[in-house]
Amino acid sequence: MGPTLEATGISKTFTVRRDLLGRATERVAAVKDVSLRVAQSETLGLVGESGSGKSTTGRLIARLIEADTGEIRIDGTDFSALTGKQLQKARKNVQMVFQDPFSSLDPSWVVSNIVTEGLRSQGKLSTSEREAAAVELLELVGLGSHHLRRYPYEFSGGQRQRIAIARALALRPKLLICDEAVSALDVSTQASILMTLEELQDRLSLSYLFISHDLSVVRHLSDRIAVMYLGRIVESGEAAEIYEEPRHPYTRALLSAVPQVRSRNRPSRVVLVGDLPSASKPPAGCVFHPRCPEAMDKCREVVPQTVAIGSSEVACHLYPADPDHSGVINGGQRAT
Amino acid sequence: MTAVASSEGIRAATGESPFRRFLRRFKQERGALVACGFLLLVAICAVAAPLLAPYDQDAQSLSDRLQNVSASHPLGTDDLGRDVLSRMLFASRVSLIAAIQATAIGVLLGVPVGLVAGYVRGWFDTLASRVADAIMAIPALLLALAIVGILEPNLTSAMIAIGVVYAPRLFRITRAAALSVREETYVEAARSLGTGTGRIILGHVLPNILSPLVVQISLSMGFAILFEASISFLGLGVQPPDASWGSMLGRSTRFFEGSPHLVVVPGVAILLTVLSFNIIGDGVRDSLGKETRNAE
Amino acid sequence: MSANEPLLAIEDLEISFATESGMLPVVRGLDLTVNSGEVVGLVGESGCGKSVTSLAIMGLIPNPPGRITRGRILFNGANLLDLRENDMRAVRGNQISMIFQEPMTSLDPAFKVGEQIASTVRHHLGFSKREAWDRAVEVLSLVGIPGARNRVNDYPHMFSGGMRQRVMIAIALACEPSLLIADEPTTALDVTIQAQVLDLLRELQQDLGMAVVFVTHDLGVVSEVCDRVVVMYAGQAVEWAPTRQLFARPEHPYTQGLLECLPAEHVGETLRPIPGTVPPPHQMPSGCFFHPRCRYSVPGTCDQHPIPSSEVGLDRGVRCVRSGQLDLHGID
Repeated sequence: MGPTLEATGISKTFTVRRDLLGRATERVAAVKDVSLRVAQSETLGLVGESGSGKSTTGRLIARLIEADTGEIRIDGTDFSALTGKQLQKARKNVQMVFQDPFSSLDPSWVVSNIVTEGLRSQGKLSTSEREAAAVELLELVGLGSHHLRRYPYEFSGGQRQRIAIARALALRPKLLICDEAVSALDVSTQASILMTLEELQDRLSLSYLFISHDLSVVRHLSDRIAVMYLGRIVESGEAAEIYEEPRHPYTRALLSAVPQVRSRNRPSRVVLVGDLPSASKPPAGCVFHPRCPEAMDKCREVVPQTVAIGSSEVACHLYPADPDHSGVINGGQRAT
Repeated sequence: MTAVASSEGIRAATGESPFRRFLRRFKQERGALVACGFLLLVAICAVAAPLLAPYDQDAQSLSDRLQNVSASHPLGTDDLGRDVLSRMLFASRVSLIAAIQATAIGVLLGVPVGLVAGYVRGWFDTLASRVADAIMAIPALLLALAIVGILEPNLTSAMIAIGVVYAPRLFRITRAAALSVREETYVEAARSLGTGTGRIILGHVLPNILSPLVVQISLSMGFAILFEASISFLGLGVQPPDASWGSMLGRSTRFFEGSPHLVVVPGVAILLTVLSFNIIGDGVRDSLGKETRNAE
Repeated sequence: MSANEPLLAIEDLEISFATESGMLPVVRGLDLTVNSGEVVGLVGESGCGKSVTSLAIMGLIPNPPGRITRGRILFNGANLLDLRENDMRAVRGNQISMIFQEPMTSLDPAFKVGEQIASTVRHHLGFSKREAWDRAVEVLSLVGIPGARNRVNDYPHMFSGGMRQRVMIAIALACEPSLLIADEPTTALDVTIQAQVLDLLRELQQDLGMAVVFVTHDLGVVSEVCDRVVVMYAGQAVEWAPTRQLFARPEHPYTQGLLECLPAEHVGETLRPIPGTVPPPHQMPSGCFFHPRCRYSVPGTCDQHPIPSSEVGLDRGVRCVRSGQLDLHGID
């Protein structure tokens, strides 16, 4: 069986400033040549800090924003080529759960209408069918049917996030994109939402694209991980391998920066200097070089190619492409 | 802050719709309730004018000209000997209907265009915004006079003129509110569910911009009454023998020294009605506040 | 308690807020001591009262709706709650200062950062204009802002998120306070920037010998910066202990529950979320506030009477009647 999601070479440039005649004077390459694959029932964690382009990538794949280039295939069909009514219908395959559980539910709607919105948008349902569907959906995410007539403001953050998950699952999507879905929640609530997500994945054979800045959450949930920096994927691979043996200096710094209670086996901290550079003026060569503790001359000039090492793929000059083993994956970065 | 968050959890009611919550809070706005009562009174007067009026509003009696307040004429008579109370009662009909008409025209012109412009953006938004800017750049009275001039001087033309004058304001408010709702995540979620644009506008955007809209509509009723008074004062609105408060005010200024009640009575009616609409607008705004507003 | 007096001693603090159901306590019976040069963590989930407590120390509880309804806050032996607003203003920003989660909202966008630091210094220490300006440059370089001499002339929006938090810290440290209150100071920051700021705070704290009350929801951060920790639940301190001991061997089921929820510490295991939710202030359960969610709770024991706190070792205490009978697990 083919992958649920196969995104190839997606890029997006935003115009942030225009002159009086409407010509672009400042552009930001928010996402640059990103390729991702998610197999069925698999979770791909997409991590990065603010400004890395991870949320934009999620919205590009859900086609809430249109990509400039690239192809998005869902279960083999070309999702990126669809328009109009066909696109509206196909949207049911890709659903999203957003970060802010307070702005993601319409305050003027009751819960039963919120969770069945997709069903109504995709086809006609009688009132009784809709009501039955709503009950079933709430049960799926662990909420009782006595909540049906309530309004969002009566729920806690965690309950709201469950409602948002129910709404996304109503259309039986193939791919669920979770954009910082547990980041706004308290630890105990976060843990119970994570558990729910895991259970739902088993029951419904869902594929997840789990976008988060929180490496510990991503580590818990993901089978594979892709690390983004300034719109590019710098490293990707099996979750265990990325965490045990991070190769890209950025991945290493990121992992070592996570404060942890457990003091054993923790990597020695690599503190990065400086801030994320502006995406409108990305550094030449490797975009990470100004902050990289291991930057070489080459890094300032040449864009690193993505090479396969073990189960991982890394875009860094520390791992030169070896022509004999044809480790280079052509066309820049590419995640398994 | 934690404090706000915890008092947040204290609301005991469950299943209370946003509208009911609004009602519950509105009932505590004393000024707005008084204003509502006054407007209700005006509305009753307007509806029941034929029953309440002691005289025929048009019955002239030149021997009774410019009488002061008396038992037979509680608000006196005007320069043609007509009973002022009777005329006031019938004029309240004209004024209220005029205000409703003008506001309806303004809403019909301004709100749908504002919704589409704010949600869809693009060339439509640019075009609509420029037109609104252009209309608002013309002095309101001048524009209204021009419209009445092009049509014919009667009350309907005056109402159309007021509607056109007010539409850009309603457009702007609607557009600005739609712009901010457009950025809400639930709209994004609706798009990803495959909900069509029309449905999103009517189902998500419109219900969530109702608060500023209702406030603005209430204010626009006051504005319309005032503006109708100005136009009728100038003789371009309601045509004799019919009267509105504005036209009564207009024709009686000549007699101000001898018979001040002719000016005071319609003047006070206009003042109180406009004030009531404005107070209600404020009350609605205060009771519609977001949930986070409860830390008082 | 040792003979030398603590820098800060909170005794039996109760803070209430006016709500639709009347005045309700959001913090109750809180005791807390902070010694000079010590970093004490105040942890808990949202609504547990940790932020309100930190505002109370600063005398910044918004009144109405909030009010301190009981207790004392002793700073250097004097009760801050007895001070008038004017006297409190002299303490605030001078001997006790505070940094917040969102630096952008606590910096005035209309003034150069140098002016903001200088005005604090002039107000509290009576420095001349020149001295104050020099002090601004000095503290900005102290917090690691490159080119401090030029950057004093910049406005807050010209700094990045991490740099803004450094500016906040610089303002807070300008008068060399003996107590710093840090309310979620790194929560809004990216993890690599958070690492920089935490390192900086720890370094400055040691160099200046300052005491810090560190308010956070992040147990990982606590384990890195704090000497002692107080865990709060539903407005009460449920457990307090030296950091290592707390994590290695929690005494309160809630603390254990929080540790079991940490995804980073339980790779490849299923998480054990704490069932239920925090009760709202108007629906506090009888007995132990945590008992409806506690897997160790015993009917008749835990749900009857308010639970007193008890000492369970040097600098350790817990608010659980079954402490000592339970075999709780920590993270080593």
